[in-house]
Amino acid sequence: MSIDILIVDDSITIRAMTKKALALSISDLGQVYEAENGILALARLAEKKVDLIITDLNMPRMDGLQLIEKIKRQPNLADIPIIVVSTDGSTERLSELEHQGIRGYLRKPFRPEQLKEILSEILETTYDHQTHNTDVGDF
Amino acid sequence: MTTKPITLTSAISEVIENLTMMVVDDPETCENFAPQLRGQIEFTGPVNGSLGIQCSENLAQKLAANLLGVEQETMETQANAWDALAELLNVVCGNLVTSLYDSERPFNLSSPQINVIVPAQIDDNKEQSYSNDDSQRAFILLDDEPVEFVLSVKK
Ligand SMILES: [Mg+2]
Repeated sequence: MSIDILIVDDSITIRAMTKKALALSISDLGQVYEAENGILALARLAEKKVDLIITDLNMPRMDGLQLIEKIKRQPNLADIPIIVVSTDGSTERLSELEHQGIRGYLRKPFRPEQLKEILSEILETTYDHQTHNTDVGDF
Repeated sequence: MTTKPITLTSAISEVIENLTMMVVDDPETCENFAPQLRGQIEFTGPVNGSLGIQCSENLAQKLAANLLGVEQETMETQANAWDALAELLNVVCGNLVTSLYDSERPFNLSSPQINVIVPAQIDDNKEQSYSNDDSQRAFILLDDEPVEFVLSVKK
């Protein structure tokens, strides 16, 4: 199966970097959608469900925490695995995210191989999907 | 709670080296520093304050090209350079506040704002920042271009 992914981040730079890391990590990458905040992410998800969401926390209009809360309350979306990519690495925030049921966390700045590692674990356990075996290297 | 001036430059350098593939150095002098862009991000939480950045437009373009993995000459818009600078500020600030002040309780960061510096503002800003006792400055060279960070804490 091909894996469709939604990247939510207010920085176009981070979205582009993440997209690149995804292309290097997933052998059967499907559509990669982008949204710059939680509101646009929910609008995208209402149109098309994805297999995985990668979201920032600090965003204008609707932040990542509010987005995750709304996704988890919608029965048709609640099972989509979520990876959080954020500068916030405080222990309180991490346990809050864990409590909300996120599947992975990456602190900015991150290396492509760190994203690949999290992806392979989630995709294998959720969809029995293998990531690339090649070394993703640096950007 | 006070900031730790010794670790400010090294903490900033470490984050930038991890984010970019750019070389971070100590400048020999910060004379003739004429930045064109200024960015600012506010943080609230266990400690409240702001982090500012000043640099050239060329550095912002270099940074964007580096992060996007493209040649600087092929960079399309100014928006990309400003976005890259804003994200650098966001990442540096988020890492700094946890390493300098509190790694357990979360901080909230504002959206970073980038502006063009009007030449007349440069001196005003220096005076404003120096008048704040809790301001810490860090000067670094990023790919041979000077960048200044100003960390200010509200009492
Ligand atoms: Mg953000």
